[in-house]
Amino acid sequence: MRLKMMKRCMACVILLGSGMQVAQAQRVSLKTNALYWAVAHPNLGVEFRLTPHYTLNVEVIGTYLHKGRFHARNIVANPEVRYWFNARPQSQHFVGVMAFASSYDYRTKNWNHIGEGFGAGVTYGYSWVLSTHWSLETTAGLGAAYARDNTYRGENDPMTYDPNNKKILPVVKLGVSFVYVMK
Amino acid sequence: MKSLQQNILRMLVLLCTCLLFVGVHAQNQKVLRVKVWSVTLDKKGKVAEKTEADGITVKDKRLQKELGKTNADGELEVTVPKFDTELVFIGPTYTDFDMKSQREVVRSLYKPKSEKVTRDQVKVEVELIVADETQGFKQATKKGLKITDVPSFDKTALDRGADGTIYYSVTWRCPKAEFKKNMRAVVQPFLVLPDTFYFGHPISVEAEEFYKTQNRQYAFDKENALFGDSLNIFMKRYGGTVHRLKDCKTDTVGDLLCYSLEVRDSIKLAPDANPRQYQWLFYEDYNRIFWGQKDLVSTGISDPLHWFDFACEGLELPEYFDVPQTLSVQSASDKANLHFEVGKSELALDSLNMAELEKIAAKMNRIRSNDGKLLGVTLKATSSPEGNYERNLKLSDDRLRSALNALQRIAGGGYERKQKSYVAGWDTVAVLMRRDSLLTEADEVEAIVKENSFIGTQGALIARKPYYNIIKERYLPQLRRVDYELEFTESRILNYDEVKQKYEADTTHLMMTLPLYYTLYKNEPDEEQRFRQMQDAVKEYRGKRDARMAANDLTVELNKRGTPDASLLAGYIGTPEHKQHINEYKALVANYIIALVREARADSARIVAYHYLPYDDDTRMVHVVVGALNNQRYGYFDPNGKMRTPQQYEGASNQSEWHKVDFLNYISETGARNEVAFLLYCKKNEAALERCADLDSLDAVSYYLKAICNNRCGHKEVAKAAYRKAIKMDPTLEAYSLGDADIYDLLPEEVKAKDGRKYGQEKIDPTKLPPAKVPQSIIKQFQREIQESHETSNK
Repeated sequence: MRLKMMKRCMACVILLGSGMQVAQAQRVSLKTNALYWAVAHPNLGVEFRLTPHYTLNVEVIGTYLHKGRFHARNIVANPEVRYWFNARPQSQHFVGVMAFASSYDYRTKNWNHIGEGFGAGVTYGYSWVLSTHWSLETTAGLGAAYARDNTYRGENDPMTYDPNNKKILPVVKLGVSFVYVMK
Repeated sequence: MKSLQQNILRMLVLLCTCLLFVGVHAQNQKVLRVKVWSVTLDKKGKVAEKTEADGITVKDKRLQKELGKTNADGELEVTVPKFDTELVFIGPTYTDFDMKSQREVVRSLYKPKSEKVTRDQVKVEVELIVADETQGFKQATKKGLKITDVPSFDKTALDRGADGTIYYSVTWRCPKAEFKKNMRAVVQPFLVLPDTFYFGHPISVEAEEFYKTQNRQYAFDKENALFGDSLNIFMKRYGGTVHRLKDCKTDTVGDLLCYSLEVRDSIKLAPDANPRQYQWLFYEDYNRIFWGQKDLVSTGISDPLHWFDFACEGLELPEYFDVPQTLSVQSASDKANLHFEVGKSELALDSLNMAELEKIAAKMNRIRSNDGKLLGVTLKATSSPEGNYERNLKLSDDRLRSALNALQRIAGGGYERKQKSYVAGWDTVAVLMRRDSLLTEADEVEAIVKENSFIGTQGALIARKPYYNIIKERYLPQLRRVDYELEFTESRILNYDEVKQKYEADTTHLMMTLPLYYTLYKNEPDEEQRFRQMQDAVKEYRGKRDARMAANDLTVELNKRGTPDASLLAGYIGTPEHKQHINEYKALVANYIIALVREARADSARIVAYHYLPYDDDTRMVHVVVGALNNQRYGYFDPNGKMRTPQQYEGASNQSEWHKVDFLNYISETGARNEVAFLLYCKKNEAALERCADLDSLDAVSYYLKAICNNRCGHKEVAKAAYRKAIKMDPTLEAYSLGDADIYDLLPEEVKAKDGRKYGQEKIDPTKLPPAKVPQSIIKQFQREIQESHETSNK
């Protein structure tokens, strides 16, 4: 049920982001974070320009891996409101406030982690203008997540659900993203 | 008695009290003398200029009262109470646009100042510092930014074409380290004349990131009228150009590596306009305009090549271009006193008429005997207006035919006969009457003519007038006349005086043929007249094959005057005829190339020289100058005098027959003056100054060139001394120097005053000038497009 609610929240976030008016073309950028790809987490982001200084960045990261005893499933929705110091699309410094929601399921031979998490944090980044359409963006963020995580050890450990298994976890966001400013 | 004494005593006491009061009051007043100076500081903060400041308002802070304004000597004398106070000095104000707040503000010419004054102080002397109007910009400058470490502009001179086109340069320079990736520089040139100014085409230089994000900023449509970049739209409308850093050169100023850009441009003004060029420069980043300045870039026209001896100017065109004078058609006319009987069309061959006919015949025979050809005889008859109009006209025609027949019987045939008949109007009668002071009668006749369009009705009404007999006897016979015109050709060539007479008699010059023009101006002793005649010839016959000589001569003259016009000869270059007669066209091509060089079109000159100018002793200098201006060190010419490439020279088997010319060395071999003039033209000022040491010290022009070199290199006092020597040797140089941008700032005020042009003010206040001359068609087009954009968006 919680997972269902979680999924609904993520869907709302995604819809909210994609429902933003895309009337002025240069107000939309597409991006993908190469670091996430490096850790086998495909991702896609969309950034909407709200005012000359503010943008709404929505990223969706997900993974589904299954190899032998290793199983990984993760989906994260990460909206972020950014303030750009330059009144120019995707150039130079920015700071942001992000939120995220995640549902994950990691299993190996000896342990399982299943749960969901919600959190927020702050980010800072810098975007280099490569050409009229392309930019290279680097981001670093720090936040905290509230996770309801269930951990199980080994195959013989019966799967039990502990509703009090709640944690506050630190979250670090790192990104090297390629951004395409759409026409 | 006692009461009288008491009264007197009372009055004395009252008087003493009053006097005491006045005395006390007088002791509490003083005369304060105020002296105010206007001080201008240089960039280092030292006093550059100190003069009396007039028009300064002086206020007393304690009294809260304005004491007065200083006079032309900066002085003010006021009577003030004797106590400690503070005086405030307020200078004249003006309205300006503040870049920081992006609003109109009122600024004072001086920085505000107040001065404390003690009760016993009777003299106050203050210095007011002239406010630097760029102060506002500098305050907004980003911390640590040092844009002004190098000059932002190059001091240049203007060049002028013969048709009044002014050629100018828009220059910009900025240290590389200071031009950040989020910046844009905008340069707006404008040319100032005594009573107006003109905007030139602006340029903008965008840093790479600025350029790329500019596209993003405006949805990749910078030129959208409503949502685009307003500066880009302005650029597009007014012919400005947007440049990126890769369009800029890199040069070094001192230790600093700089971006620099120079854009050549032109504007058409009146032929005698001699403007000054100013430039506004602004820097902006993504958020605001943060710096700006305006500066004087050019004080006028510079033409060092005026002193350059091309050695082939004035090369005579060969006989190939001669246009011999043809037989000219002349005409002679006179009055013929032929009379006819009333109502009769046949000419009575009485003694009077015969004598008249024989007189005409004698003239005709004289033409024939002078080897002339009689082309035609025209008889014109005018009839008086009384009676039937058609009948009068027919009668006149018949009479003329009869007269021509009679003339032919006497003088023979072999010529065209023409006749023209007219019926004079009653208004002509009125003119004759007015001449005899019959004013009232003339008015009546004119009124009848005005009210009645039919000539018969006019005649009938006039015939009823009591003074009709006077008209009939005195004025109508004057209207009946016969004139004749003989049209003939003479086989002789007109001499200079006859041609000059013909030229001056006919202000439209319709009868002036090209050969006549050549006869006229080649023999004209007065220079200005000759120049005007050449201009008339070219204006009438421009582009015609036979006008080549006139175009060439005018080009040479314009080159000498420093107002070149290469377009005069352009139409004759490269034609099939030219290609077949390359050697004959040599002088014409040489003069064309010189005009191109003087118009600062050295690249076009190179192409023409390469293809069309044969190399020989006459044209060597032209080749040398063109090559040197195009940064060529050597020129290679085959045995036929054709310019070739270095590769062709290297591959030639008969190199010994070729000419390999060292351009720069050749210029120096022709003399120091040529080399100095050439180096000045190339703006190699230090090299020119060095070479000045070899100039002939007895020559006025040499001193003049020394003055230019020293002035360009910043040695003002030496330049002034050289200029004074030049003027002493040749006073006529003074008139030339008034229009020479290289010398103008050296001129003493009394010499500048002779100029008659009222510049003098280097502080331009654009709010006080009339609006710039932007063509109305451009403004209307712009307004129309904006309107259309609004309508489209509203739909």
